Amino acid sequence: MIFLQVTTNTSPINYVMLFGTLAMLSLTLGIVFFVIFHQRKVIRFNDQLKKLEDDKQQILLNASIKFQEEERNRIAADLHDDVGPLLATARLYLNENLVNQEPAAQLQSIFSAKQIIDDAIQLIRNISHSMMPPTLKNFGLESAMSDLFQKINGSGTLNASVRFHDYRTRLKLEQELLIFRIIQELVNNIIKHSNAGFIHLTQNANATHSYFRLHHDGQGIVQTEFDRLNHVSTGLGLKNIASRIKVLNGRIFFEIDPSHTYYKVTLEIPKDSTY
Amino acid sequence: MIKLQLILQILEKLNYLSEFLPLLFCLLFFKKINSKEIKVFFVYITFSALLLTINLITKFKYANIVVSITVVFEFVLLSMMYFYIIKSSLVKKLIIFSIFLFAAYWIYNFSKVNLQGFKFDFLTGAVESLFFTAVIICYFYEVMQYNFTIPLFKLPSFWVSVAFLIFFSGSFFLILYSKTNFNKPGFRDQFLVIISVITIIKNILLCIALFENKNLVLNKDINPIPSNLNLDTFQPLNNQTNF
Repeated sequence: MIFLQVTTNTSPINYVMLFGTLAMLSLTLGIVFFVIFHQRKVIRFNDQLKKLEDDKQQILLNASIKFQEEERNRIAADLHDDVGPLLATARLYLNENLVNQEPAAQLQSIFSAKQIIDDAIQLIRNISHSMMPPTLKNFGLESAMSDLFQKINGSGTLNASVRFHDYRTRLKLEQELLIFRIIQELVNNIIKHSNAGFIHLTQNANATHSYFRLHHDGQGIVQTEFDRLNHVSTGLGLKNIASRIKVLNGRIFFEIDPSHTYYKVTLEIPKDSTY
Repeated sequence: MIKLQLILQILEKLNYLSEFLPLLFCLLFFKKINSKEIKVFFVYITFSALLLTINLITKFKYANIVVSITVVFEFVLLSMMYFYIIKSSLVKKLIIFSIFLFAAYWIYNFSKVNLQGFKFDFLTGAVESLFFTAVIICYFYEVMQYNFTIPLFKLPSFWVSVAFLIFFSGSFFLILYSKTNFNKPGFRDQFLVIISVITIIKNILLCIALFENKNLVLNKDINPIPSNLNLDTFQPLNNQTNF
């Protein structure tokens, strides 16, 4: 703060002082406007990034919802088409006339109904297992993966193998299920699209992360292709993988080896994920 | 000639009146003065208005003492304000160091102030202007680096900084130039015109800062989520078995 009072003296205008001050003020205003415009530019850029991220989230969310609906439809179809007719048939065997039938016929009807109910139980069990594999729940990811790969190997069309190097402490069941689903989807894609001769899954870990790597010698995709497919509205599988990875706070890398003989897909999952 | 004197006197009065404007805004939005930097700013505004009142009552009889005290308190209070605004620990340390250095210089210099006639301390004023210009540029640099969400013109600290940057950079050249020309006839009037215009602009910008502070506090109060909703127990994925 500067205090001055008006005097009675007059003198010609001092241009040096006037223009000097104006120059200083212009410089100041220049700095201020530069800061404002720079920040506006940064905010606009950030908004665009946020919008892109929101769009991606929306696509993932839609994919996830669509996937859930498809899964429900599949379960509904299984129950309606398989379990429903079986139970209806069992009911036919156990109708009101059963008491009026010959004892031998009665026994035959009861036996047939029992057979059908056993089939229905087996069907329901299969549906339940497809939702939550019992091996995974009871014995963990390593056993569940071995089980899955053994089944693939048993088909004889593909050589599938699993090797877990360091899985002494199990991840949480929810994490294991998500990893299982991701690998299941990846393996499914490899079987369907890649025309591979072998699939090999390896697991390893360090203090903070668990790593899962799938090798195969078929036609695969690389990271840029995965990112591109992830942003298009068609196709559910890769989006489900991306959304599950996001839930796990993990990362996924699609690579091809330098000799171009096989593809690698690596999952990086944090051990202390808040999930 | 008479007209010129009249204009100068009006400008002088406007200058003094404008010094009270930020205090008026502070009192109007007193309840919104929540953050530490705005509290320090309020103290500074009150202090400035108080010193000006003393000067007006005593008809500038003790102007040199008042100016001398003003400079050191202005330096200390504005430094404290920027201490709270700026996040960089290095700049904070430099500010603290500068306060002590400046205070020490001021105590040494105060003994030399002529209590009878007016003697403007150019060096102190120039150092103060230069220091705050540098601090405000540091603040702008920090804002450019870290603030990506709120537009600058919605931040009270931005308007305060623009106000003081204009004031200190505008007065810096004047102070330097005045050292050799202050006693020339008519110089003080020209000095008064420029400094009055800069001071009025500064005080208007400070009022805008206080107004934006009110808006910022109001926006913080608006909570779109009802407080009676318990959202913490919501666990969307833990109980699901099928994804």
